[in-house]
Amino acid sequence: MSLNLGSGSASTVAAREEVSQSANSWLSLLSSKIEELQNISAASDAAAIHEARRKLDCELEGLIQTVRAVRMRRNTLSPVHRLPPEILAMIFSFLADEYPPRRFVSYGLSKLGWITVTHVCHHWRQVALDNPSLWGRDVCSHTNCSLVEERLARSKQSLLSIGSFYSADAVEWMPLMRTVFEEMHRIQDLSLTGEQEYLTNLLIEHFSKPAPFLHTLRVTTSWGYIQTPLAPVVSLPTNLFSGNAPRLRELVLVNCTTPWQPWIFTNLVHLEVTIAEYASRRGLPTPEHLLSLLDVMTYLKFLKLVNVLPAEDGASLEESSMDHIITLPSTLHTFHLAGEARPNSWFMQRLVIPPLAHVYIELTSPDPDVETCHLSLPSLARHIATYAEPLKSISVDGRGSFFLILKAWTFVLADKEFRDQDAIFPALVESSPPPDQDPIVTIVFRWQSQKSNIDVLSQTLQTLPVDEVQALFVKDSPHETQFTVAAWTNTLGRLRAVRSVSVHDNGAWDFFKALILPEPSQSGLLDPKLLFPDLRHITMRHVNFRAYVYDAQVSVADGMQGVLMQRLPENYGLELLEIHRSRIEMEDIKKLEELVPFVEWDGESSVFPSETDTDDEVADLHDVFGHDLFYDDFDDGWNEGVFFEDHDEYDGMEEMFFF
Amino acid sequence: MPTIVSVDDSTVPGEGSSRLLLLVSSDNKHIVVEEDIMSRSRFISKQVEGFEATSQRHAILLPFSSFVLNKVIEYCSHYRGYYLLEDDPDAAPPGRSPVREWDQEFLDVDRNMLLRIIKAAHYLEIKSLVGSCARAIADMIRGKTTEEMREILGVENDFTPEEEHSPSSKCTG
Repeated sequence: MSLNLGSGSASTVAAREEVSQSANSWLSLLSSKIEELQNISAASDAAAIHEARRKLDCELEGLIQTVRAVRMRRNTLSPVHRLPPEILAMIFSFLADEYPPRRFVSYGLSKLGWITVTHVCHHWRQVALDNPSLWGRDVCSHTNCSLVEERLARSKQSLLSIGSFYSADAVEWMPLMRTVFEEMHRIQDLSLTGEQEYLTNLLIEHFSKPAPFLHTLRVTTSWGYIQTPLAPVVSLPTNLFSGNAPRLRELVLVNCTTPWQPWIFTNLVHLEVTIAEYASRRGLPTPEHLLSLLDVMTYLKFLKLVNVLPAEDGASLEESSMDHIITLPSTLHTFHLAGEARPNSWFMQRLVIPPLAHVYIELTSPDPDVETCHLSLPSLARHIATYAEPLKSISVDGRGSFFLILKAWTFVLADKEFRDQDAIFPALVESSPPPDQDPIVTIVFRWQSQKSNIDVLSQTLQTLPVDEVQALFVKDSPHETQFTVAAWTNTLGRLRAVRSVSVHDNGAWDFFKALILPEPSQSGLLDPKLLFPDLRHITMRHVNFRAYVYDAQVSVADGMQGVLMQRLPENYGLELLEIHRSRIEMEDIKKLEELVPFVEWDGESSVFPSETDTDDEVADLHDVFGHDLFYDDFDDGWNEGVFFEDHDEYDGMEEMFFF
Repeated sequence: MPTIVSVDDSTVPGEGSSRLLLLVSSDNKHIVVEEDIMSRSRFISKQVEGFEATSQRHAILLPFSSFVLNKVIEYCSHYRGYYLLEDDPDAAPPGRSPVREWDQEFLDVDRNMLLRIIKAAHYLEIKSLVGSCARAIADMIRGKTTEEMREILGVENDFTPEEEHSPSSKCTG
């Protein structure tokens, strides 16, 4: 607060006079209070000086208290002060929920960022202290034991959310967790990550206590350890919470098993169990038992099972006499199944998935036998047949020799919408339904020896209902072409209704060749007609024309022009050609504009990111460069592979906590 | 509690399916609004229930300006007929208000206006609007230093130097 006394206007002159009068009044008062000291000087005796100093210190302290009182009184006139305390607490709560303001700060510090509000003024601090729930969230975002104890004390008896990552120092971590678990009776949200040895001790010691308010439980055994072949995973105790966790709704277990007792699962809305590929399968349920548990989960919204089915049972399961079909509840919005192809395909055959659920299947073939990848496809085709709409868009990611990713939508997706939600492995970990633009079906095939993903794709497209697909997105390897002319004509050419093709990376050249050089199908399934007869729209992205597409002797324009000139006389109606972030020049574009009614070009002649790119655009370039690029908006520009950075603004957060 | 004054039927037109309410702002502006629009306000709903009990019609006097009241009516009009979980008295309170794009634009106003709207929303018991305003204020100060927060919201530092800077482990809760 300061008065502007700088100009010479009448009002400021008056204000200056007012300040002067006020100062004189206080000085006069002060003079009277310290009048008795007027004869004391530096030459006086030590005792007198000491006494004078003491007296003056008292006056100073009194003045500070007076200034504070005036400021407090002034704050009562502030509009924000008139907000009811519960609203102020709600504002703080939003801050506590949604820190940090930026992405690239370390987790622990950022979680305490909201504490700055308690240093604004007395009123704000008191409002924060009067709201125990503020202190009960993310109690363990630090491993500072005294800080955690203080948080627990300030949270009084409100419900707690505990998110704890094992720190390298077990001497600190274990006592901290023991302190926290003394409060098991009021923990609402518990997320625990640690090494197997320490987790096991904690779980045995504390997880038999009743947890009457527990809503969400997440237990993760550190991945670094669990990569060891047949490493044992952590097990929750058989007397879990003494059978008393009636509010448990979300259960997330990563490299951790649980007693597979119905009472734990009956009320769940979110179940996620992920086991490392090579970890021990001890403690996992039989597929039949898992099916019986799913049968009682009538509220389920999210289901994710990764490597939960024992691989060794794959062959024997096919002999299983179990023919009971389980219908998953209509509330389910996400179904995610991953693991070895054989047992998981058996499992899928015994499930009816609701039509509106987003399905994510990730299957691994441990042997070179390509057929195991496809065991699940008939079940999947039956499920897709229940959709109200047929599949209208498909994306194929064939960039690797060891996997193939296929996504499908029941509506026609534009290229931009595709890029907005495109990721190799979507983060299907939220409880909330996937966004509308997310694929309704995602299939990931993995195999452990190199093989042609085009063969796998071909078999997939033969099995699934793809006759009405209108939009096709293809990602090819930036280093070598998977999508040869034969692949385009014989495999993707099956999609006869396609009107829009988006080619990323280096499938472009063979795509163009295939447009004019159709090869008769060796399988005899396709007529030797032009590829995609209804094609209206081509998009090319990240295509390094100079390096990969054309011979050095042939210009980009001449190469594409040649194709288009041959294609267009057939008048198959190509209307729009879009070129983004590709290595192409203006002169090439001008030539193309003579051939196609509309050419859209972003003006970029390089596939490298620029400073004006958004985060999404740079993420899109991730695969072109083969490593992550992050923009540090503090000062550094684009960085490679740096994810978390500490920044000065969070220094001292711990000190700010104690007041 | 608001002051309620009896009004003549002729003051408040409308006897059809969508009844009209007369709201009177602190600057004595009379604003007629359809009851449906304001049904999102628990406060107004309770008032209307009271009217029905007495078979009398009233104007509702509100302790904020017509400028603020019109903003609130604009909000309620936009969400007329929409179900918002936060405003459902029978629903369990949501963990936190969701981000609504329209709200963000609607609340792109200066600090004082935002504070007036949130107070009005609180008075009228429109929880969804209170939540959106609270989020907007939080957005305003998120990531700011204490000094910047004081500047933004016009608050004085009323701590003594000791209170402000000296760490202590005293639990005041």
